[in-house]
Amino acid sequence: MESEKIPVHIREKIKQVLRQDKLLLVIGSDIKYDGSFGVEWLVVTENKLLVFSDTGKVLHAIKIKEIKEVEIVDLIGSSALEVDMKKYIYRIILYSNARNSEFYQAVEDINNIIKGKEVATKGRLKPKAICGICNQPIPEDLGKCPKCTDKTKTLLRIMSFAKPYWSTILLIVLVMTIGSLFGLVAPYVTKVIIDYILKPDPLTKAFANSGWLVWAALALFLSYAAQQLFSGFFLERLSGSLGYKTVYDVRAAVYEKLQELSMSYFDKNQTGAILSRVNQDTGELQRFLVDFVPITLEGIIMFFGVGALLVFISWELTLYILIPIIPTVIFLKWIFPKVRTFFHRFYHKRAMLSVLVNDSVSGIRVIKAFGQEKIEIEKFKKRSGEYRDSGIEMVNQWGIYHPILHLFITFGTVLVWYVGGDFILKNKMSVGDIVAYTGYLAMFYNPIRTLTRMVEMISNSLSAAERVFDIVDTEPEIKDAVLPEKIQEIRGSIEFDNISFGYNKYKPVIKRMSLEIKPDEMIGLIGRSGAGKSTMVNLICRLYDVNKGEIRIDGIDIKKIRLADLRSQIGIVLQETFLFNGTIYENIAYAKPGSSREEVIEASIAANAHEFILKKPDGYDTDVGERGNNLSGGEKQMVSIARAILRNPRILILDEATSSVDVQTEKKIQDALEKLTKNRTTIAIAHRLSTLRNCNRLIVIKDGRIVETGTHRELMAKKGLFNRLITMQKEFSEQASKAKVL
Amino acid sequence: MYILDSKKIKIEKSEKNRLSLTTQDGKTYKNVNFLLLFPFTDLENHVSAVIRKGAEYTEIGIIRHLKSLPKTMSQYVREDLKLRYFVPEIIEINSITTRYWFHKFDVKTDRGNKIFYLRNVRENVRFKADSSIVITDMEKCRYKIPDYDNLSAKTRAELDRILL
Repeated sequence: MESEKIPVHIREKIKQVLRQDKLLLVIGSDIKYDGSFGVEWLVVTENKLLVFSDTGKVLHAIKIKEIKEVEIVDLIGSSALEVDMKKYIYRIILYSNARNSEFYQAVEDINNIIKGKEVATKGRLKPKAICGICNQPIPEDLGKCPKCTDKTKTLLRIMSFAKPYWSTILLIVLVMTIGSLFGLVAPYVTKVIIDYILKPDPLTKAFANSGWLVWAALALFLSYAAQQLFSGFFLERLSGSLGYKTVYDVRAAVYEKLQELSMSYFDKNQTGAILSRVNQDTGELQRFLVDFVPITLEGIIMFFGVGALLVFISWELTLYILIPIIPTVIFLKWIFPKVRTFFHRFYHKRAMLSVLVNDSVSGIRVIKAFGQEKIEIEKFKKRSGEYRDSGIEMVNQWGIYHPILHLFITFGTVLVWYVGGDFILKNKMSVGDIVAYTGYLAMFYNPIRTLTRMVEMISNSLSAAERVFDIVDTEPEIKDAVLPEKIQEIRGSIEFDNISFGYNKYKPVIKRMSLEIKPDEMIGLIGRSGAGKSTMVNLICRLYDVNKGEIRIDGIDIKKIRLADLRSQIGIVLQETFLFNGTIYENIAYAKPGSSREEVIEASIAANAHEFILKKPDGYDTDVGERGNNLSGGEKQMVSIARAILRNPRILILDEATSSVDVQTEKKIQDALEKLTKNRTTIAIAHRLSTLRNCNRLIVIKDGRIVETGTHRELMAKKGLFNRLITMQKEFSEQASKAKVL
Repeated sequence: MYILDSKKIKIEKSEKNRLSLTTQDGKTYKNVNFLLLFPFTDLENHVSAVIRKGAEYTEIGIIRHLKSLPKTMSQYVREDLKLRYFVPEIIEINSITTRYWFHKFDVKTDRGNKIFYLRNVRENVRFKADSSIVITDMEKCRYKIPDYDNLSAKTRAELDRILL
């Protein structure tokens, strides 16, 4: 039984209804019968299925023995549990996506209860993890409680990437301290100039120490120069290189992980989102390490260094200047969230504008073809205007807060002159002291300003870091077994043993499918789009793992075969040929790193690609362009066939293109494919009649199940689904060719 | 496109809350489902009546405007739609608190108050071209805001604060 927190009054009600019945299952939903947010309770006993409202009212009570089956009906954003009572179907409870896994398991259990079977203990979905600290369920794809994750851990983790460079870090701190120390010299030299050099001798009224002025000026210059050398030149070099090196490491870790992750990860996450994690979020980390960490460290050093000097010059005055600090910090704390809103609005509008420009430039052909230039300009002007307005608003807001902030800070200087002036009059301090003091004061306020912004900067960087580590921490769903079987060359028999699979495990695409393919057999898969053909292929390549059952190659469960070995035995020619940006040669040789040029040429000749490559002025060095766009559809296909031939796999997977190429090209492709499929196990998702005729066996798929098997002739004679599909296709192509003649 | 004539069709509820539809041609269909053709932008117009068989839908016809249906009938359809489309509309954002790396949304929706958590603003708050917004929370539940410009100033400020 699910251990869910059931409120006392519901528990009481359940007890009342229960009597001697045995309670089997209680599960709470998160939507009420009227579609609003709220809880209802599904209770299953040995004899009854009940639904309670959140007040404990019984909404439904159904006898188990009258139920034929319980079913999940997918709605949009939510799902419903429906009870099939033979005569009619009842909808009894609604729940949102958040409860998918619990209800999916519950339905399985209830159906077992109905059939009088034991509730399965094996192969159950994992119940949602509960956070040990706050006792809340943790969302499925997170793995850790969002509320209780330790902030400092992430911070330490960022820092751990800087670990290999600890000597650089030490150096940075040293350089920074030295630089700051030199920074402290200048105001003191000014004090010396005023108090000792520019002070006329009370007797002669002449500047007695004027000879020292040149040395004092030199000292002043040197202290500035030394400060720039350390805090500017050295520090920036060191901290910059540290930041870039660290982020390089992070980025490499992310990219390595991305290559390792299973297809399902890429199904769940949008390409754009992944890209922004690799680029922007790591960039955010870089800003954090390159700009922020040194500034903060410097701020801390200055804060204490300058603070000590201030106290040293006059501790009384220091007490006074602390007064404006308190309201300044409060003010800063108060305005930052406000200003941030405007900044974020500004950034967001900027991003929206660049999305628009990006979109319209890549779609310029369509815009021109439909003559929509004016509308696009209007759209741009509207977005751009929003961007402009948000910019103006931001500047205006900042224009209010910034002067106020400045006033707070200058108030400190005012205080120094007022209180300090009094000290001078009372001969407690010299003029030089005050000048030096105001110099230090400016240095003292600066770090305060930085430190107040620290909180926001840290939280931004940390959330970026979280997103980055999120990728690094994701375990690939498909991994090698602990002791994988190494195989050299396989014979090529494939077995599907009662497998079920869905990309979303609550929605199976392949249902309890069994199939045996002999070595060197050519199998054609036929069915409507969405029937599950491509999914079968994905499963053989082990891009996904089956949810139930087993796929065996040469009698070995593919989960036990070393992934690299498995994939090295499989070659794929995809419907949508994907070529990388590069030359034809590079794209063919991709299948077999280290292959010689002649091997590539041999493969192209076998694929009938050589002929068209010859005609290209740049031959094998022809650039295929982005996604191979410089080649025609037929050419791309031939290149990808050459790629598969070069790989020489034991198992070939062929996803035939539906898009038509001209008759001549089709003939060539067909020729090439015939050569390619010889002497290997081939699974073809076939559309062309000629391919279908070549297959040893055709398998017709519908809704994730095999409905017909046999040779082309057998299936045509059967007059089933295959016959219908083929007749339809024939009629269509006849119509199409008639239309061409007209 | 087969338009269902709102003056001539009949929509009735069977005892088990199932809807049946009789078209202007006098054909009656049982267990009819209603689908919105523009679920994010228009809840009132262009509603398709379908029969579901497994994963396939067969369309009976399209109702142009719910408003033009007799009141009880439009009520039936609206109820059916409300249960089918669970994409609560955010009316007001009471607060968004950012704790470390996630945002806690406390919102008022057309289906009651709700607190939900959001992880990544860039990925999960999507602005559409027509200034509508779709927010997907950590549990993969979606919420919509039909028009950003119609939100209250406070709600907008809350939202803007976390936008990137």
